[in-house]
This record gives sequence, structure tokens and C-alpha cells, in this order.
Amino acid sequence: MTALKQSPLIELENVTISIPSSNTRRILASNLNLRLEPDSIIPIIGPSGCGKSTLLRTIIKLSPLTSGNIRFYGKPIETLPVMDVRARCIYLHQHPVIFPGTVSTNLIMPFTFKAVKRKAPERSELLKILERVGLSAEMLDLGAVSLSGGEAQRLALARAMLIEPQLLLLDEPTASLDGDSATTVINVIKAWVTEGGRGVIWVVHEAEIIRNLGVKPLRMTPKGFVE
Amino acid sequence: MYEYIPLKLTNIALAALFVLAAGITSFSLRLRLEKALGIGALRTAVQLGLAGVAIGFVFGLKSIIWVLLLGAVMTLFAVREGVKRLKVRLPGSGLDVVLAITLSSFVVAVTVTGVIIGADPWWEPPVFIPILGMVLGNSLMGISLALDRFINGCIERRAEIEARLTLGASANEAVLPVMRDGIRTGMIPMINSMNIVGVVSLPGMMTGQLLAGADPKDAVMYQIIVMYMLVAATAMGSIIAVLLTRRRVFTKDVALRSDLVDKG
Repeated sequence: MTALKQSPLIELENVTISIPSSNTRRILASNLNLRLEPDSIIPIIGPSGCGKSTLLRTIIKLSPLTSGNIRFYGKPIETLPVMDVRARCIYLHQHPVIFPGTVSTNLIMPFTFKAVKRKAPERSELLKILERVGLSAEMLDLGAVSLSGGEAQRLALARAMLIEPQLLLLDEPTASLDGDSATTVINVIKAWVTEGGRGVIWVVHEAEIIRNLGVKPLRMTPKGFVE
Repeated sequence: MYEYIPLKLTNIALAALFVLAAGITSFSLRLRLEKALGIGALRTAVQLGLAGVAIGFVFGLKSIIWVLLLGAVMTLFAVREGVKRLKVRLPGSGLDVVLAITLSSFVVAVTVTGVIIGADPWWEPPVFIPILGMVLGNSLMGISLALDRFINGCIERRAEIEARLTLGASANEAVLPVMRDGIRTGMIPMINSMNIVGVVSLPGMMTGQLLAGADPKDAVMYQIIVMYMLVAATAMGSIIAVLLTRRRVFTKDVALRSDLVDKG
């Protein structure tokens, strides 16, 4: 347990990321080094197409690691079963996918998957998480596809938090939110990250959000991160 | 009782006048289908003629080896057609089509001839070869529809599949709705044809039997068995093909293949 505490949540060492291009792969960035300690948030900024989303996808193995090392709790990610990584590390897309059914069925859906070991949460827990992300209790039984973009994003955040991951990989989650909603989300995540050694890598564009996070961002360039 | 009327080449020549009429219509309306009509008509005559010779030859030999050999050649053509119909191909798709068509067609054809109809032996050429031919054609149609829908579904519904994966779903759990969609697409045409058979359409096999002087009661019973076996073959073929291809759309890290992601 002590060893776990000493390890960073996630560590990137000389990582190179790439995307498919015709029959080969195009390198987006290399020499990426990063160390995310428990209870901390690392904002990542950079121009569109520089590979921020690909980096997050690479960490959860949706995209292959071109070269370098990614360690999760000190263990090389390639040695860990992919389902273990994804159960402890949730990626939240800029345009969240909301499934047909009610808000409630969306929140419970991950618990129907075999790899998610936790028991499905009770209704009271669902109401609590909705309140936490700033959605009203009445929404629980509403059709989820009718939610606005901002509400859908907060529902996706609530769904991810219910699984109790240790790491959240956020891909511009506030891009479609208005000022108040964005502040709610920032405060929720800032509080969440301190509840027991959690961490967040946050891809962000808006200067206002970066100021609000109060953490110096890393700028992603083709040759690595610069502060 | 109606008696079977044997046909001569002059009957075929008379029937060819229909194609000639269609050709003249095409020419006068400038449809430019004359060449295609001519080639189609010629291929029909040559292909069916050759099939007739091959079937007649195998019927005469009464040997299981020759029956299976003819079955293998028919399967080969079905597989070739099945692979050709796939709009998006993955490495190994051809093998999946081979396995799905062969397994579904042979299991159903052998069960129908040996168990349901009770032919003795089960490979009795005049029973087994036509049954296998019908099963192959329909299984092929179901498999190509199912695979096309499934692979395109993986491309079009990439965000949904990846969202499930990131929430902890296994490959099967992530892609299950897309698999169901593919299998349904493969089976629906056959289910639809069961609903209209005898009302809107009289199937080729039953019509053929009636023309050949068979008792309508027997022709109907054969046709009912044929419809049921075709449903089984399309269901089995679609399910096997989608299950086999499911393994190919994911990498060993349970991510969608990059060439599918790239197309999305």
C-alpha cells in the first residue's frame, strides 16, 4: 500500500503518439513526459490536431502506444489487463455519448458490464450524484436523449464518477457548457480529485477554465510538453 | 392428372424471343441494355446447361465423393460471390465467409435430406444437390447482408462502441447492439419472404415441381420444408459470420481497429 502511495498515478516517459494515415501512422508528438501525482490535476493545452485527444486515447489503450513508456501506479501499462486500466481510468469525450433510455438507465448502464465489479448504485445514490453535478432530481426518470449539450456532459461526468475511477481523462468537458455550468463542473472535479488519491488529466482550451483550475498547464508541442 | 410436357430446343428458342423483345425495346428507348441482355441470356443458357451436364453426370455416378465434390464447387462459387459483395473487407473476412457459408449450408442441407425428408442415403444426388444449391444461395445472401451491416455499423457507431469500452465494457458487450443489428439485417429478407409466400409469390421450386407434374400437395409440403430450412440457414450463416468477424474488428487491446476508426 505504501509503495502504491509513493508511485505517481500515471507517468509518461518519452511517449510518442500517432494516428493512422493511409497504410502507415503519422506521428503527432514525441518525447512526451508527464507525472501525475495523487490529488492533482494536470491541464493540457495546445492547438487543435496537436494530439491531445490521441494522448488520452493512448493512455486508455483505445489508440496504440507508438513508443515510450506509460506507467499506471508504477506498472507498465502494457502489462496490465486492458479492462483493469479502463475500470480505474475513465475517459470523458468532448461530445459525450448518451444512450437511449432514461437518465437513470444511463447512470446504471456501466454496472451491467462484467468488468465493473461494483454493485449497481441505489436510487438515493443516483439522486446524490445528480445533485453533485448540478442536475435536478426530477431528471432521473427523464429520457436522456432530450437533454441539452451541457446537461448531457454533466450526466456523462456523473456516470463516470459513479464507477469510482482513480483517474479521469477529460477531453474538453466544458466546451459545450455555459459559464455557470462550467463553474459547477470545475468545482465538482476539484472536490472529487481530493477524495482519496485521485487524479485528473484535463485537456482544455478556455483561458478562463485554466485560471479557475489554478494549476499551471502543460502546452503540448510536436517535440514534447512545455510549461 | 396433368402430365409433364418434355421440352425441346425449339421451346427454348421461342422463349428467347422474350429476350429479343426486351432487347428491341431497350434499343428503341436507348436504354443501352442490349449487350447486357444478350450476355445475360447467353450466360443463363450456358451456365444452366453446364450445371445440367454436371448434375446429370453426378446423378448417374451415385457416388458420395462426386456429390461432395460438386457440393464443394458450388460452395466455392457461393463464397466467391459472398466475398465480392462485401463493401468493406477486413483481413480474414474471406475465411469467415468460407466458414459461415460452409457450416450453415452443409449442416442444414444434411439435416434436411437425411433427417427431415429421410432420403436414403442422405446424399441421394437428386435430393441433396438441389437442396444444397438453395441453401447456399440464401445463406450467402444473409451472410453478405449481415456482415455489411455489422462492419458498417462498427464504423458508423464508433463513438457509441468506444463510449461503452471506456465505461468498462468488454469487446462483446461494447459491440453487442451492432452485432444484433447485423444478424437482424441478414435474417429479415427471409422472414419477409415467409410472409408473402403462396400469397404474393409462388416460389421457384414449387413452380418447378408443379410444372414437372408433381402432386400439388407434395409440392406444397416440400416448399414448406424448404422455407423453414432457408430461415435456419440464413440465421445460422448470419450468426456465424458476425460472431467470427466480431473478433476481427478489435485489436488485442480491445480497441476498434485503426482502419475502421480511420474510416469513421
